Amino acid sequence: MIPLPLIDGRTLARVITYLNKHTEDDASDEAKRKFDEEFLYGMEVGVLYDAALAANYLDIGGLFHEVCQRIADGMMNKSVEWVRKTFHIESEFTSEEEVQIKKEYAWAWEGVDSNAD
Amino acid sequence: MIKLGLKSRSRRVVQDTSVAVEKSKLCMGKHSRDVDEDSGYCCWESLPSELLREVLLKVEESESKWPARKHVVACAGVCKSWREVMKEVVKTPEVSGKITFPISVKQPGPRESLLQCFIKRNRSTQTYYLFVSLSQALADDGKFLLAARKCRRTTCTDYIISLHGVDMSKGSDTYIGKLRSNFLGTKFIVYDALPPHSGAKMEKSRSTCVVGSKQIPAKVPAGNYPVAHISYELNVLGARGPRRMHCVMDAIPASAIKPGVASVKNFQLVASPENGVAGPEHDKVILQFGKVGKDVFTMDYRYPISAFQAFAICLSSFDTKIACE
Repeated sequence: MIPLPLIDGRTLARVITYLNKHTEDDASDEAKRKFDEEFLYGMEVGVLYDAALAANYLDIGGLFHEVCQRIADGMMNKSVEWVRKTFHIESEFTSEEEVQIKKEYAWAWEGVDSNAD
Repeated sequence: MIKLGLKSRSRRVVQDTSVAVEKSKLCMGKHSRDVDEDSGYCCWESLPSELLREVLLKVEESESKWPARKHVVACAGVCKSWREVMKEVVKTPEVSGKITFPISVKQPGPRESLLQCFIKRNRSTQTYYLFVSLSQALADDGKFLLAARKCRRTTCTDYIISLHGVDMSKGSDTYIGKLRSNFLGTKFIVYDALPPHSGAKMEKSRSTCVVGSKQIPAKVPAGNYPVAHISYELNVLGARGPRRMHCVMDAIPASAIKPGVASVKNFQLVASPENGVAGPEHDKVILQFGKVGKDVFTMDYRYPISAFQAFAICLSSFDTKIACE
């Protein structure tokens, strides 16, 4: 028995589902891609977080890359405030740093979605 | 037995468990989770660095062209750790061929190819706008980079260059430099608002750029630091004939840029071979400028000049007596 103290049961079950599909002898690349899309579709931020940590810890390259790509895709066209709110991040920039970032903000604000989901 | 399909990887889980647990405890830091696993709450601030890096690398790779490239800029504004990773992941225009942060306009262009931009002129407001092209179509769609407003004075003319298209005053924090011409429009000096080496400092210390306030450009007083000299020879054959233009950049050897020939509609600047010996950089075009419409001009540039320098050099051609009309 291999202890996995950092992965909860639900996440491990998801990981095993993924691995079972990807180790099927007769599963084509196209079938695996379709499975990945459905598997990750609609996963909440918290679930993605756990899946990414588990894949990283277990060194499952394919799952790790897919989950990271899904997280990256989810941030598309979202504002800085949305990212902070969704990922529960507090900005700790000093007021001087904020001045510099504001200049860059102008380049990031063009055509961004509203903060509402 | 579950077929993990990890092959040699599965050994790592057993052998490194104790080390991994310790390391992950450190990474989790102030991570706290609700008992309810479906709550979705997690502390992304404590994300292991390799995971954060992978996500941000994917953002950077996915969004290589504007306007989508703005997502890369947004990620660098979330918090300190995201900013540090993003600044590490994003390469300079010289290497990547991409414009990302505003500092990109002061960094040398790509080595491998010309970066395509275009300039639009507004005659009524004497303002010029620089855009980086979004597609191969000439001057069709672009991401705004810089604006320049012409200010005629008694003995000279200034073009104030700014990151902002509307607020372009010298006192504004979007002011980045200017082009000054003599009365006749034959000699020009390009001035940078910041000392020339400040760009290099930001380059070298990119990974720590955010941390110390001493490294923030806002602390450096805006001034006028000459970075390039441009001159046009008079053409004895006629005011509208092509003229020789000389361009000397302070940070580049004087012999590195060949004198160009500026006609009414276009000019090219070409790299000179080092020591007179032909090499891979021989006769490589580093700046080309051409009229494509009534008030529209293409501007393509590459290493070793930056978008700011290229823009200023192109502005000088508007001011000469045989400006592109």
